[in-house]
Amino acid sequence: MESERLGNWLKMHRARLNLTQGELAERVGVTRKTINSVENGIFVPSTVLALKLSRVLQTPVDDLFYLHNDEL
Amino acid sequence: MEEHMSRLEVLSKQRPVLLLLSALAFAAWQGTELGFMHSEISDETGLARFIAPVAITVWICTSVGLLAPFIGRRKLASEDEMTRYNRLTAFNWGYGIAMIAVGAALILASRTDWPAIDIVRLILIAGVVAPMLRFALMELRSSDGE
Repeated sequence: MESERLGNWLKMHRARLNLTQGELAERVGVTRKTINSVENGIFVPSTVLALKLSRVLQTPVDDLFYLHNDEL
Repeated sequence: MEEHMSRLEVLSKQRPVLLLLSALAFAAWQGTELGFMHSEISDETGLARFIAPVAITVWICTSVGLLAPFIGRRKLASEDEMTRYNRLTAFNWGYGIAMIAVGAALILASRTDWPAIDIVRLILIAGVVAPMLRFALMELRSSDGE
């Protein structure tokens, strides 16, 4: 699941809502470490987690994640 | 809830450290049981007699520390998808290492007169320690600060 191709704007949208990694983690039901890893591109989240993040951050999934070099 | 989360945070930070210690202790303990190690670490120094009990003690303590959080409700919260992914990757990796060890054991068994118990013990060490180290390193890598 590690990938260099998936980028994200998680940190920006989280900051917009004044949420810490821990608070966001709590709301989507994962550990803070997982949020940190997703933000840093170490871990690619499942579709379920991406949708939960999208819901909590009130942002479409497409605006949270993107493919580098616009692949596909 | 906040206290619960910070407890989880502590647990998820402790886990890789305990795993590392546990893996090293297991390797040290089993390593002292190898026949050629007995001849290397002679009775003059008594090193084997010192290492083995210390390693076993560390292994038991770290194993208890690793298993304790699994008793109770904390398990569900600390077992999120990244942890499961890391564990699966580590097991796959460990399987590969164990297979390499089996191949090496086959060569050793056919070309040397090493006792079978030592060769099997080496496979055991590789098969147990490799996934633990890999999982610990993956967890450490993802536990950097905000």
